[in-house]
Amino acid sequence: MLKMGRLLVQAAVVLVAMACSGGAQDPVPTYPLDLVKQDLQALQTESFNGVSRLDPILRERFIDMFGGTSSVEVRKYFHSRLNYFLYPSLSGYEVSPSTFKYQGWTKPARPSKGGPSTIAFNLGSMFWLQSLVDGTPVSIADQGTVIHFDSHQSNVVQLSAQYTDVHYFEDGTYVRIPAAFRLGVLAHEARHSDCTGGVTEEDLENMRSAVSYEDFLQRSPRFECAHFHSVCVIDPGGPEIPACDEHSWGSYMFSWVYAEAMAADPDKSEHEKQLLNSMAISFKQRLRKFDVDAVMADTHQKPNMTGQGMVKR
Amino acid sequence: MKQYGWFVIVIFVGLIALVSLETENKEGGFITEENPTIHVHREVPVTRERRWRTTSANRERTRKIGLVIPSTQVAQKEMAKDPHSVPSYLVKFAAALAPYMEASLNDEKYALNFFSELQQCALANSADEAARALCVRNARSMALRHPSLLERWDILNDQLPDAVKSLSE
Repeated sequence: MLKMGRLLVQAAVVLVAMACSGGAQDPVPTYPLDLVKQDLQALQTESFNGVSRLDPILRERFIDMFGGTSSVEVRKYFHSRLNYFLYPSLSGYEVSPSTFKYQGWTKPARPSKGGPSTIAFNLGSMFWLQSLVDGTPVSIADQGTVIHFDSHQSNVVQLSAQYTDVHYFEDGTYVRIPAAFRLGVLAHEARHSDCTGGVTEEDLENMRSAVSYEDFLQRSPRFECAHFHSVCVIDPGGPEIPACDEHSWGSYMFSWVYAEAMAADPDKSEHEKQLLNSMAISFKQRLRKFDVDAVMADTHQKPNMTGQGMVKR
Repeated sequence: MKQYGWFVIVIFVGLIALVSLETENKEGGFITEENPTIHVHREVPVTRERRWRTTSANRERTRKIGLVIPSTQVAQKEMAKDPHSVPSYLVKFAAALAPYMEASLNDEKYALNFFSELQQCALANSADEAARALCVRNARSMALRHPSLLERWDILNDQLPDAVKSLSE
């Protein structure tokens, strides 16, 4: 009887443990480099059915920006701008040179506490510009592969752990993140690979003498290469953030239109639609420095989808 | 000793009952980890789910949901922390809306009730602008699905501030 009682107690302990854990394990996020591969592959089967359901202006703009409405056409937009992904930080890679000469232009005037975090960062454009500013070739070595940042289309993106399929909140709860949402982020990063309008010697001089990122943008207000973000206040009374587009056809405009098209897809689940709607709204908030609706409606204005290197003006 | 053995058996049976109740709630309940709502806390009180499951279908459609709408303070704090991405609070709010929207699009009576919640959210001046715009989008979709809501939608649309309206379009 005593033995039976002991067995029952042991069984009870197991059951209590099961009850406490809910009987299921919390999902483990996929490794970001595997996930990005899966996401880009998922583009092959993406129907883009939502594009035809957009209003005519937005539909036309989607085609201007992403090259068409077929999977083949849209994939071309991504693949011609994103070729190499790094994760998570540069510490695991050998960067040459190890320090840069002129770094003022890359630093925010008022750094945020702990530094801002991002899901993804277009390192290719940044390092290519840095090589021009310093007049020194920049490269990184990764397991025998050397990437040279010698062209405006280096197409290198650094991912963070926030590039995820399971987003955990501070309270321990989580939400599954759909591939279309992450592809919205990649649509944004891909646009940073375009050096629209090219770089002039004057721009490089401004970068060398700038004490901050904001300072450089003030010195070169027409600079559109790599579609840098400008500083803005989204909510009246809110913080100044370097996360808006100063010019039309920048990165936020691309991810906004992409998210709108995906959210309009009747085949997407309600969960996916809600997340994509939140992305569309959040990114449209960052387009307030110009009249985005007027730009969209003006069919004479088309996005310049070409990139250039050094130019003379 | 015999008495002790019976005591253990009683506890054991009680635990089995508790575990089976918990499993049942997780599979069929409205509030699950896979299907998060605004109340996305993992420790959802069992009583709450039981109440949801035992109420009549009509009461389910008319009960007050009580959306937890992100405030401007929450939004500003998160934007300062990660200015580039879709803020976490908005992702959480959007995911929380999904099951309610799904129910509303399929059930007109449920939609009539939920529309009031979205209306309150859309007009809440102290709430975050992006969250308000998300509520407006959903209210519009719901009115397009259920024509009985069109009049209420027109009234709501007239009351919206320009910034929220333009963001939702």
